[in-house]
Amino acid sequence: LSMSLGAFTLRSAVRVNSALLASRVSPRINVPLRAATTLNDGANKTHDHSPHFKFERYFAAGMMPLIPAAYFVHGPVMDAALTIALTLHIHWGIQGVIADYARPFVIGDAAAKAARASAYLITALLLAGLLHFNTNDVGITKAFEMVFSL
Amino acid sequence: RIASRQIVSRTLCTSVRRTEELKTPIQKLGWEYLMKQKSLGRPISPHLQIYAPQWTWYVSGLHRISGCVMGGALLVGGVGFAVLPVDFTTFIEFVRGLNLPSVVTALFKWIIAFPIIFHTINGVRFLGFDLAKGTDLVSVYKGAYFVIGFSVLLATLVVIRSQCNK
Repeated sequence: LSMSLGAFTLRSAVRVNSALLASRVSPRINVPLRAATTLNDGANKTHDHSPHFKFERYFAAGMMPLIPAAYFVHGPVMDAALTIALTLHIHWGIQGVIADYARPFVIGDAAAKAARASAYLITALLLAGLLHFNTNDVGITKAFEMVFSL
Repeated sequence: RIASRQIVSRTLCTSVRRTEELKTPIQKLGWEYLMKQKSLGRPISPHLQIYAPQWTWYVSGLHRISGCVMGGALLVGGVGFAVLPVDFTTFIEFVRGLNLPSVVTALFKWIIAFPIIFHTINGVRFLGFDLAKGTDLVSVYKGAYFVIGFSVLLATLVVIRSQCNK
């Protein structure tokens, strides 16, 4: 097959074959195939989610001591810390849920786009509600105190 | 030259669409596969109703569901107490006036405490998975049993402590 295509392609065919042989002998399974999966060729640029994913997880790890601390330490400072941490964590959580279930294949392109935008609306409402609760009402930690005194 | 004209027109084409709508080659492949299956009129294969219950996906599902329910509760509570004429103290006094038996109040407290505790502890376990730690089947199951058991225990202790402090 390669003979019929001329000397130039024969050389490249040999190169391809030796590359295939090398990959079979010593497969580079530990090297992630980044080049083939992204689309950053100058004219096109796809969004790389990995730094965002990493930051989400580091943030969640940072929240790990906050939750047990909130059981023992109460007050407006803890309320503020909880509001910020919870709102951010819930925002990313809701984005993940919506991205997983409100998919273009299932509900169509327009509805999927609207759903992704609605995640921001939900977070905004959540933040507004919690801030209002902390300033004009008893606050998160006091609310838990009151519920658990029933 | 033709090449630069192509680059310019390609740049214009792709700069009009936002970058998040661009598909990588594998995403394009997957999408075209789905479209092909849809055009052939093939049904989506059943999943939740036929998949055997397992600690793996049950715990994962509970993690997501508890997160969504807690987020929803904070949303409804926060917005509700802002919009409605009732404030939180009035609401608590109303519930206190119902004179519910302590078993009922203990149950409600447990229902509030368990998702928080479970989601936090399982969150630690899932962060371990993200670091590729404990992902062999034995560890996954041991972790699942531990998380569920410890969450139940801690939630019970929290409720008992609150009932004793009354």
